[in-house]
Amino acid sequence: MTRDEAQARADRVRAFQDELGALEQEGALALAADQRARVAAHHAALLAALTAEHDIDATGGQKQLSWGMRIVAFLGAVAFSAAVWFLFYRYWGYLGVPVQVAVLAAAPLVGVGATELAARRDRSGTFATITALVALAAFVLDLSMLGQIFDVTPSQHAFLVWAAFALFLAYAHGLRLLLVAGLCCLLAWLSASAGTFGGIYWISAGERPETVIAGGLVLFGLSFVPHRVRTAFPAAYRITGLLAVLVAILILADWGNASALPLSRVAAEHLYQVAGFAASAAVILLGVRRGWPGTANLGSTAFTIFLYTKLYDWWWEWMPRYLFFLVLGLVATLLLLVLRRLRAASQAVRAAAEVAP
Amino acid sequence: MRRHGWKLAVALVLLVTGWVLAGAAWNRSATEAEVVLTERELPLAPVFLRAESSGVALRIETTAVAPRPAPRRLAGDHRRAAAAGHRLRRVAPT
Repeated sequence: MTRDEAQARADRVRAFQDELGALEQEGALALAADQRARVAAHHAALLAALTAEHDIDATGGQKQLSWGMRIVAFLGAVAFSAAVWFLFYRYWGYLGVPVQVAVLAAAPLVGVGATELAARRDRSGTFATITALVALAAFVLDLSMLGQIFDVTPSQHAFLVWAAFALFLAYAHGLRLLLVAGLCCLLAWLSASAGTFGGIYWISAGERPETVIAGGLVLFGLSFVPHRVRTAFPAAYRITGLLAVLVAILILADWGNASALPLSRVAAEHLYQVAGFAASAAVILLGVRRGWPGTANLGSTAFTIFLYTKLYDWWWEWMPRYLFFLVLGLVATLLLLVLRRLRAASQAVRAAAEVAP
Repeated sequence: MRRHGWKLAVALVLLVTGWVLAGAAWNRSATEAEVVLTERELPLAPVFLRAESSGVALRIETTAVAPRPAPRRLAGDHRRAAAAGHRLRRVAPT
């Protein structure tokens, strides 16, 4: 059983206990005293075993604290990475080239060792996240400094190597933050490669956001690769890929000159404005149909941003401010009504599926 | 992957670092030309730029003189302006 599965089981136990209490209060169900004691003892033993083995959050309070710990871990990892980076810059001029190379190569290896140790000591993965992110920062420092020292021609393939390093650590220890960092590197490599394939110098690939759309679509496609152990990982692939696609379309909808398509600026902007609405609506629909709440939320946010951007373009100049904001409020209300209908429809589909068997 | 992830990460670091070092060794194995630079061409960066980095880097900026653009023919513009009822006259550069 993975940590995600253990957490899901603990969540089900907590929901069952809450519902059992409510049913007993409403008089719909009354368990005999020995039955209730047996279930309570079983659940207590189960939660204790899951906590001991996987360090899960057994209560709602623990879950909220875990979120706080993840945020603190992220901030700590960023601070440690910056410290490693500046430490090397501060002293590398006093070192000979062989020592520089040895320090640069050893730093990520020490980071990998520390991650292995942290993962064994702390099963929640909070400290392993910090050490793994620092190891990734050290590896980025390693390659970029070797490039400076030996005047190596810059290449987009460095992003592929960093992505592989981050993904190895993410899959080894189930670290979602490392997975996202690795996917960002993979996205940069895919976009730059798509750019070079189209004849652009790789560093300039970002000036043509269509290359990012291509990379985002590849990541989205990878989210359908089945994950038997890391069951929470496909969502990260999906959200990262779709976010990249939607942000690139949003940029092109307002900056048609950046498009690589053989269209005028105005035509490209109109095309991507329509594409933005269609894509975000499709993402909402996909999220609702498949039961992916993160995807549906991403689609709703993107749709709202596309709509508000267009309303600003159309009406900000000639409408009185009070009327502009009144229209925005009315549009928000209309969107809420549409989303509520979608929610009701998805609830009806789920209810029908539960009744069918 | 769960058991061997760290081994793969270590192997990747060693492999890629070795690859870069081998490329640098090959690059330095032959000398094509030598340029002698003195302190006149190599001023140190100001102290405030060196506060956080003890490294010294050499960057060579090359400048190529672009060919002078051919003078524009204005006769057509004059004719079009005259047809539209405008009169153009040469203004001395200030």
